[in-house]
Amino acid sequence: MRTLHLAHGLLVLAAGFSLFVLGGCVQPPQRPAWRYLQRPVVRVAILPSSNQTAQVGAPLIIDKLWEEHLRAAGFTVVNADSVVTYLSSRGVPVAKLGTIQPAQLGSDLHADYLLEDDILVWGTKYRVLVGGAVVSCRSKLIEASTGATIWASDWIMQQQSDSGGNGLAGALVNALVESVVDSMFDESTQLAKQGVTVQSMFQPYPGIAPPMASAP
Amino acid sequence: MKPRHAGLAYAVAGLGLLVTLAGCVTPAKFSPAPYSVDPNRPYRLSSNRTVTVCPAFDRLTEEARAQLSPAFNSAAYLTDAVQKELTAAGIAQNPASFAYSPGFAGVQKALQDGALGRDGGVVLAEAINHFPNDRILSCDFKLYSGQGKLLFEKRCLCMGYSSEGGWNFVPHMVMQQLFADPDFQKAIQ
Repeated sequence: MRTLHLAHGLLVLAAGFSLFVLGGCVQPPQRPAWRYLQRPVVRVAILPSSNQTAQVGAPLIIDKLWEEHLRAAGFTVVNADSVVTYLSSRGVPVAKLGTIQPAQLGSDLHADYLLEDDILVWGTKYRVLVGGAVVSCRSKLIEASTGATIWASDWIMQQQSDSGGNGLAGALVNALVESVVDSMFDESTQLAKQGVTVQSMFQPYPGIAPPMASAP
Repeated sequence: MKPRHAGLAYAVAGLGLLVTLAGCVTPAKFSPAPYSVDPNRPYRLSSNRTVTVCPAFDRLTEEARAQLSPAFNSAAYLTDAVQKELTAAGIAQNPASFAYSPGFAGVQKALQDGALGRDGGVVLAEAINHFPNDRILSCDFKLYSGQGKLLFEKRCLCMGYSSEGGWNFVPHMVMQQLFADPDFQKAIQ
């Protein structure tokens, strides 16, 4: 009986070890998205999204999605909750976040870049028989030390569905954030390799609004 | 005019109109207006040293260059932008003239040989990497001492797909990434 227990224990140990080894094997390769930015670690602080819609939960979803996807792309992330905690410690309401200089925020949060989001539309639109989800946002990545914008985009995604609902809106945003972060990674890697070529970030992603500003 | 000739005239006129319209819808090549300094730029720059500004190096790919108007000189655009920002900051400049291969290696060689930087100031060299339209601009900047020591380097990039800001938004952001950088401000002192 004791031998059986021992064998069982060894079996569990072996299985655990195998899982550990396999886990190591299937780990995604480190994606050097920071190379283009010429820094060993790129730290991005996700500022709590500002919300222009009636959907109270929208900022939570967007902030969390950015966090997950940026982490997966190899960035070090200061999440929106930490930013809120930092603001509370300074006695600054979240709505007054814009009164703090980017350099100050970057220094206090130990972040190289700040990600800002302004949610413009989030919800369901109905047309006669079918409805659809629509999400629109203005996103911006700011270099903390200079306050200069590195990347900015006004984007809108919509999808027609007979089920509609905000769950679909969340899925849409997930798809969008994933594609945007992937494209940032692809762009930066390409830049790192070639040093010269950047393609339009959003060309391969239909559904994202075309640029709205116009040249003179 | 006979009715038969009138029909022919209408056909020719219609064809002419079609050709004209086709000409109008040909995609225009990108050619921005000359750079203008943002009067509300949020940084202050000061230096007692003279800055020698090297002409920018053109690193555009053939693919990117094909999107630009043939009349537009992207390297001259970047040099002009840097000189205008320095002028607006009241920093004394020297034009660079040296017969070395255009590139950062050429600048370093010129500095080593004493062909540049003899006035005791600093030397700023810049390269334009990508500028296919008014949405994307990528540039490299390097600041050297008169003895050829690299004091500062940075790759600046802006991708602006937002309706915020005017068309000058992207070059302004690139200039801000350089001139508002505390390390650059320290290096140029």
